[in-house]
Amino acid sequence: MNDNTVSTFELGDALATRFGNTLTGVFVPGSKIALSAYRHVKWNSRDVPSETAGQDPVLIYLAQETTLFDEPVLRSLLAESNITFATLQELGQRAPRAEYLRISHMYRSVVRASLERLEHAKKSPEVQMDEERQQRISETVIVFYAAECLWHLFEILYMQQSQLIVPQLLDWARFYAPQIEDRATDFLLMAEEASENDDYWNVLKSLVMVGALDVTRAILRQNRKASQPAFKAAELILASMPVYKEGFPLKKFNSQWEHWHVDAERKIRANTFGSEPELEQILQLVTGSNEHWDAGIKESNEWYEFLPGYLLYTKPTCKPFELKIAAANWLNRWTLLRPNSQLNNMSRMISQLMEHDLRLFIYDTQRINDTNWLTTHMIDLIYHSGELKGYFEQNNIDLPALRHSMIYEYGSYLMSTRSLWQLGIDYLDCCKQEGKAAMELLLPRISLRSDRHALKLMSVARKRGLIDVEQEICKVLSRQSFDDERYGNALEWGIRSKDVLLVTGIADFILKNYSQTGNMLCPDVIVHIKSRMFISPRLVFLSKYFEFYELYRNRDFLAAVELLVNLLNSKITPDYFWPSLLIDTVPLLESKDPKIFSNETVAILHHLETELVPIIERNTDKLGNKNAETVFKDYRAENIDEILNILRLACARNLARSLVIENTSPES
Amino acid sequence: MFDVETITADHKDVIHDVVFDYYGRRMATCSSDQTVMIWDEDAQGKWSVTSSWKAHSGSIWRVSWAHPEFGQVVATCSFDRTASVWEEVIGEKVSTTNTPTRRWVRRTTLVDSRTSVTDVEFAPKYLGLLLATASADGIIRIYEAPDIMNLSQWPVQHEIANKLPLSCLSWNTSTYMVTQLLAAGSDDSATPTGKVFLFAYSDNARKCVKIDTVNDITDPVTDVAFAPNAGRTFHMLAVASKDLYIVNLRGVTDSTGTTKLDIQTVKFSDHNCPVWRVCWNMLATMLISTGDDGCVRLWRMNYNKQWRCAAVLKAEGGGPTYEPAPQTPTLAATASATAKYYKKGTIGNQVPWH
Repeated sequence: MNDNTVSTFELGDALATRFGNTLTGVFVPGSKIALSAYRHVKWNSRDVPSETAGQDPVLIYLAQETTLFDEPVLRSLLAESNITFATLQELGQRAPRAEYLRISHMYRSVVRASLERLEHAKKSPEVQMDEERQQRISETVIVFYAAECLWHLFEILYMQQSQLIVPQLLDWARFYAPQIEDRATDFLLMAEEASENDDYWNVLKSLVMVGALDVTRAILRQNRKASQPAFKAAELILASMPVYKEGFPLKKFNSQWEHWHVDAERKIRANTFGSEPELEQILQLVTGSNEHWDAGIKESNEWYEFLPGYLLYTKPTCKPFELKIAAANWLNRWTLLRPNSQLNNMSRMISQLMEHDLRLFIYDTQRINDTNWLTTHMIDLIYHSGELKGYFEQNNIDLPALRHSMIYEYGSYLMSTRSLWQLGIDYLDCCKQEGKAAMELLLPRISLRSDRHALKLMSVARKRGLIDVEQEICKVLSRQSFDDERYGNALEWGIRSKDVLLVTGIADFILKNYSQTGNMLCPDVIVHIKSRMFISPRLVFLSKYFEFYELYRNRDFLAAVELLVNLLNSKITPDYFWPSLLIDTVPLLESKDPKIFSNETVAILHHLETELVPIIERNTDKLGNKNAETVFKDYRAENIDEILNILRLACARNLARSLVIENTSPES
Repeated sequence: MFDVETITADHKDVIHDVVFDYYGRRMATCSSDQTVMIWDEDAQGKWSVTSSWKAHSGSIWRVSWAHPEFGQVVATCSFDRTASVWEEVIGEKVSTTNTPTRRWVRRTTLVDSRTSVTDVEFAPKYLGLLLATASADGIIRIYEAPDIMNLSQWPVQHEIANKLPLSCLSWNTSTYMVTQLLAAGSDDSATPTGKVFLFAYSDNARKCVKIDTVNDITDPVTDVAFAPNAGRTFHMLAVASKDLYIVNLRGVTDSTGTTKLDIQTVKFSDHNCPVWRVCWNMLATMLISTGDDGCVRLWRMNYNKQWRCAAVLKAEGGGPTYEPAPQTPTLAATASATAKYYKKGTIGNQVPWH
């Protein structure tokens, strides 16, 4: 669309308007913009406080494009229109026309139900207390009321098969201007008394002009003078007015209509109603007297208010394409008669619809403050129903691209709004690759409120094959748990993320913590790792070591020894854990009844000399300072030299003992 | 039309950088007053400072958040020739019932630069925990934390020297076509040569090397930003220079099978003055540019994939609590007046999207 006028907004920040300063902005993940004063400083200028330092407050502005979607009551509208949207996607582009009309009805009933809920909420005590929210609800009602009104008109003119539009336009106009009918109801209840009312005739004229003939007649029949000839004649004229029905031969109707018209005008000219000038005015309107309608126009609020009524009395067979000219003429007439009145947006959009200027209509719908709810859903419906295809082609509008762009924007808006993200999924799902890519960027950025919330996000990601997103969420949860010292959770989420580095890091932390404190963190999680341990060699070591730790604690020493020796031989022992692992052998070597065979003892001694000693040497500098001493600390020993001594002695003693036993025991 | 909420920052001087964390729930600001502030948003949407400390002995130019899978980590760079990495840690529990306090500790100070460190940015997470710095002596340094559980070690992985002083850098977050693509800009005004450089990891040289220069942009460059990639088959780089530029980078494979970058530059002169900063939104459907004209411009891509300036936000004006503009849509058919929601302070009119 051609748009030369760029909207300009003013912020009014004192610091940003100082000489040499300007305004800068960044996007906040979500849908906000953060604005602040900015001063460009070159790296090679002197680093001194700016001359304005301390004079103006330093402010940050969080600006958000105004949206009504913050209103909790509106959530049901968004959720229900989401369901309708999904139904329409399933319907595709080849369904019978009636199906699309049904969808259109669904959308409108969603809005009407929401409007009711909003009106209801407005009266609730909590909203009554909250002026801000009350205002917001009022505005929401206005906006969505307008959206429904426009949609309804659109549906009448473009969605349905019927070529007969006048009766529907009458219903439409009456629905959105209910005040006149309210008065009419009052009059009906008052019966005879009504005719004494000051605005009796004005209301009746209005009723005629909105085409409510039946009600007019009913009120007239209750008039005190109803039995007088003038009233009887009027009733006769009104009752005999031919009403066009679909399928009735047009020619035949036209001749009937002409006949009735001539007859009615003749009666008026014959001064039948001379005694009742007000009644005569009513009949003048019914026969389409320009002079009387002009008087009516001057009383009307909106240009379109009496157009359907006028058509009823002057062109009851009006077809949609004829409406274009009729509406243009009527609008001209209205503006001429009321030179001082200006069209508001709503009136302008109604004329665009009636005059078939959809290009401008779509442009204007995007200016409604509904965060593009109306445009997105309506364009999607137009696209699917295939109506107006010719129009868009003629006007060089790429409808599929427009639809795609609207849905993409709407869906990504919802998805980046904290409380509405789930509603955005269906929209982005129908944006093909681009939608999937958008979800890949947006899903992981939804802040994780709870584990349950995270699981929900992960299941959305998994269903769409976004494995990276799922793993990323796991990693973040793991990290968060770790930072909060919830190590079991950290390990669980780490394992789910399948990230080797992360899992190794956590396992390292648990092992180091054990060797320094003798305290095994999160045993209940480690015991359940089982076959999942194979994602990281370090995790394998942790699990296996934990198994040893449990056997030892349960005093199953023989099995413990076997596992310990296996671990020593496994080549997956991290450097820092050698001291602890070897110290674990000491009580087994030194126990009263021998538990370790001679060849196993040799193996332990071998590991001591070939693994631990070189590690200590590597970490000792020329001056003999052990730079990694803290790492090599075990809670059971003062320093590493002490560990070496104890171990060598224990090994020597057990070796001697076991050799003696092994070589003296009776051979079997 | 916008709802605006104002936050008073306790910085003593202008803020150089406002950066949000991955989720938009935390904010880091840095200033010429040599302090860094960390802000948190509470459940009611109110922002407050939760940490503030003197981080450098010179103006702090930029802040960068690491991806949350590496914990709560920020990096800062300063006029004092250093860059620092900070991590939030859990403090001592005051009592068993209280939630433990959190505080930020310095994990490392990177002192390799002999001039002002002008920009710092964590690499996209798929590369690991990497940090790039740009400095006024023209050197890009890429540091890596080999142990993600212990952030005190940050050995330099790559060092790329350039002839011109560097003012800014940006990592490409997309893995499409290339890995480890990095752009840097120079604000040098003495030479008439290209001011935006592209670097990538070369398998042959086994290091990061300069692969191209954007020759269309010869004016001083103060900011570069790669766009997030939501399924595009090319890369977009926004450049702040004498004008705003969007540089499109496409990989082209010639007949011999070697891949080259095809560089297309689109210029937007709407600011009519130097542009200092650029910023993309999450899906790269919008762009913000900061001009020297006291204006922020908001750009949107329309349905034909064309960039259009959609709104201008001006520094001047009467203050944040405005009456609604008179031309606001009055869609009321029955209600007496259009009630605009402006309790928090609103500005302007609804922005047409297309």
